[in-house]
Amino acid sequence: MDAAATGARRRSWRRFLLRSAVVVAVVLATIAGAWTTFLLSERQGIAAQRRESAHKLDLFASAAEAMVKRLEHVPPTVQLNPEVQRLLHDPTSPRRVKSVNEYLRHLNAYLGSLSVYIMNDRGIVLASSNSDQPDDGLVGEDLSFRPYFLEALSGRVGRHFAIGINGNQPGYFVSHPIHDGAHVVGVAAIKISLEPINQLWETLGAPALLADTNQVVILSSHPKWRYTSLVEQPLERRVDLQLTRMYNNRRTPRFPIAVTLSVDDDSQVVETMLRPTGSALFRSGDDGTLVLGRTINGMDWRLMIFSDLRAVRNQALLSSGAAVLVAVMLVLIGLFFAQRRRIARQQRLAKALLERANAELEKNVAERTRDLTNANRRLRDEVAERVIAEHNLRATQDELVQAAKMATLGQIATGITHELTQPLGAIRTLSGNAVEFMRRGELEEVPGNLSIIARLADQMGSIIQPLKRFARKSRLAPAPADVAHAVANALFLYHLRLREEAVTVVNRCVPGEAIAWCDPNRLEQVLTNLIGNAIDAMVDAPVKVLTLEAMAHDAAGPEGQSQVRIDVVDTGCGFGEGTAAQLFEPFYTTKGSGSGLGLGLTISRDIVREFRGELFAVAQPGGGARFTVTLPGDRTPVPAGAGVRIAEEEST
Amino acid sequence: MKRFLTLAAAFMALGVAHADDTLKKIKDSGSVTMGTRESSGALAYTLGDGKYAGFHYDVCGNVLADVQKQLGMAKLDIKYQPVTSQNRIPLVQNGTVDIECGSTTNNATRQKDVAFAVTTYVEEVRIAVKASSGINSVADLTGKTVATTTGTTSVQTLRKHKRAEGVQFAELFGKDHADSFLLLESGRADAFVMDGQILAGNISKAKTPAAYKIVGETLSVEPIAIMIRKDDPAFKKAVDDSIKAQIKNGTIAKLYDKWFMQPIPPANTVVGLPLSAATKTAWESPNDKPMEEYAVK
Repeated sequence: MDAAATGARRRSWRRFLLRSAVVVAVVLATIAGAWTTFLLSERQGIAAQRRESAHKLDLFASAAEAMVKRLEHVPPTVQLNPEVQRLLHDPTSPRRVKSVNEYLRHLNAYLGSLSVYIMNDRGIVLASSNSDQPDDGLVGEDLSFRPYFLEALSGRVGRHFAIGINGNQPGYFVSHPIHDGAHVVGVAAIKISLEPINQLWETLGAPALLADTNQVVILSSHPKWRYTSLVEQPLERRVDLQLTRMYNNRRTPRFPIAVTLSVDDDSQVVETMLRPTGSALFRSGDDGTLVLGRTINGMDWRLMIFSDLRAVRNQALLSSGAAVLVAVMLVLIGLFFAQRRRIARQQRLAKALLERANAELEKNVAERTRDLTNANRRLRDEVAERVIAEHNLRATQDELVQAAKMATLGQIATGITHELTQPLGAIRTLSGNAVEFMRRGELEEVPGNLSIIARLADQMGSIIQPLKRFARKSRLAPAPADVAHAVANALFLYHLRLREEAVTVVNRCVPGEAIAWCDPNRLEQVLTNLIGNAIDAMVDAPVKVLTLEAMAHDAAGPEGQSQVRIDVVDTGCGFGEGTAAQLFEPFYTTKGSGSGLGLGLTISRDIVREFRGELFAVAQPGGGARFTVTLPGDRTPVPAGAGVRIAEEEST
Repeated sequence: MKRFLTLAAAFMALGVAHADDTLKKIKDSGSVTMGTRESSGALAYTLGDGKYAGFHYDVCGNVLADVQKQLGMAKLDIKYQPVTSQNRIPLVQNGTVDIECGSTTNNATRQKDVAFAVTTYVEEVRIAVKASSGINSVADLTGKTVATTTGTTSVQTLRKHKRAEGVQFAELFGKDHADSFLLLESGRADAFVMDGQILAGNISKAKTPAAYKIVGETLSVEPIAIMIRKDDPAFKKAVDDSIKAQIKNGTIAKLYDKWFMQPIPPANTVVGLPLSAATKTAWESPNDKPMEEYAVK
């Protein structure tokens, strides 16, 4: 039992786990699908964006390169002017300075550069096109700290971006050594404006910047990005930039976007993805940026373009949304089929359950039927027992009735004996006389005596006959009984006592008038009892009147049937209020010991009730008592039997 | 076989000569250009009118005399080219200067462009302040203005010093050491960070030397050496041999005493910087290790 429960629990737990795993797997698969689609679409979009940006960058780079490089060859040609050589050897002649200044001014105006100038080997500007701007190239300025000067003095070409020392005019400086034979005697330099490049930003259509060798942004479509550093400058570099006053002592804060530069040496292309912070699906505003960069040929400058990937990502999101929709549809279809299968299974299960319930019900019905059958049998047995019990009871009652009858008989035996004594004496005398007559031969007298004897014998027989009938044991057998007949019989049994006691008997019963449905013998017994009681009650009464009445009433019974009423009224001592209740109790008696058992009325009532009648007593107002017996009238159908009635009651 | 080896040797010699053969150039031209400094303390400075003097100037003079001897030249015309902190390296590179005898620190960055002879002097970068300033260490420089000379490594040294972490100070650049000292003297700067001997030399030449003092930690130890062109092993060997000989025979010690412990022109002041243990060690085992190999004590 426990093991089974545990097993079931484990199974359900396992099923739950399995189901959870499936759900998780489906969700993961959907997410993975959406993610993959997103990535694929994004990658495709980015590739397209990259191609486009690279193309734009190439165009921009070549345009910028052309603008700047156009003037790169100017410094080497400056020394071709012999005046320049002469100035370097004798820098003190004002006339020569003036003439070279003039030459450089013309050259600068013709080329459209910012300035062209010549320095000696200590970096002091000897001659310049610039005569009034506080900038690199002002005559007398010491430019020995400039890298382009040092490069050219070392015999190489110097070129780099820098901001003018006193002004804020940025420019691209290109320098070249001025040789005198093997020696470098001076440096010629040109400052090229970068302003034209600023005009080109629009062609890119995206934020872009130009960074110099030091990774500092020198030009940008975003003014705020200008003079920011793409990398964390090491201490030496920072000090260096300060010493060379490359950005005119401007601070170069970090570039606002963290760019990691991975330069591909072959293609000189820089490429970085600026991933938006946070999840790709739940971001705000920042959609990532494709950073594409390339180096401008021979200048060590880096051009970078920051393409916003919003459009690409939106497209990717759309694609992944579509993928999610497809996935969700697949899942829904799957769920639909799963649901259908589940419903079918449930139906099967319900059917099986129903069948089992039916079987159980049938089993229950069979069990109940068996129980009922058993109960029925038991009941029947019980009924039989009751019938037996009733039979026994009845038998006992019959015995009791008989005993009571015998008691009554005993009581009246004295009277009977007296009754019989007289005729017996007469018979003795007559028979003696007859014997004497025969001895005398007076035979004619004998027949007279014998006929008298025969009459007396008949008389005696008629006295004994009622006794015999009364004493006879009778079975309960209801039949139409004439009340007047029964009253007469009862009175006959007491006629000697009535005479002795001088009781006036008023018998108002008319034969044939009141016919009761009962056993006549028992009715007689009841009346005998009542009359006996009445006589006993009137022993000391001054007036002794026994009134007997019988009446038949139609439809007077409780169920509308006809009823017979018998009243036995005496003028005796009567009974008190308290006695009325006790009258019918067994062994209650008002008579002296030896006169009765106190069972008479009890038995009488039982007899009357057995015939569905009633016996009750009422004290008469002027003394005496009235005992009334009611009995069903003739032709009243008596129920088949008490035993059957009980069985019927129990079966309902 | 022997012929082949000779040929190979000839090619190799040719290759070297082609790269940069200063000895050949000196022999061919009969002249040599010495780069020197106008105000590098007692190491090299000008006496005015195209005349120079100093410890390194004298060492270089001995070296060139040895080279002349080695090349067997009857006469060698020595030209002097004053150089600055900025242009000394380009001028050596472009051939204008053949040997630079100033106060150049031998470090790894510079070794990419030029070569150095064995270390002749070990400099310790220190801080010079006015005696009344109350500045006693790097930490005291917070909120102060620090002067140094353009083109020198001193500021980097100071910035890099671990004690200077979190110390904020302003920088002021003097065109040369004299200018930088003037910044300190005039009160525009609170401290002058520079090579100890330069600081000592400048203080000794000041109107009231007692008003200044050199304080604080040794910020860095820098080997100072004679600078020559890169990839010229023959010339380097000649220079190194000469210096080693001068160390060996005590010439260099005498020169040190002359320039750092005795009164020197033009004002006959005394620098008063006794021979440091670091310099002594450098002389004991001559080498051209760059600054990075010296540990700051």
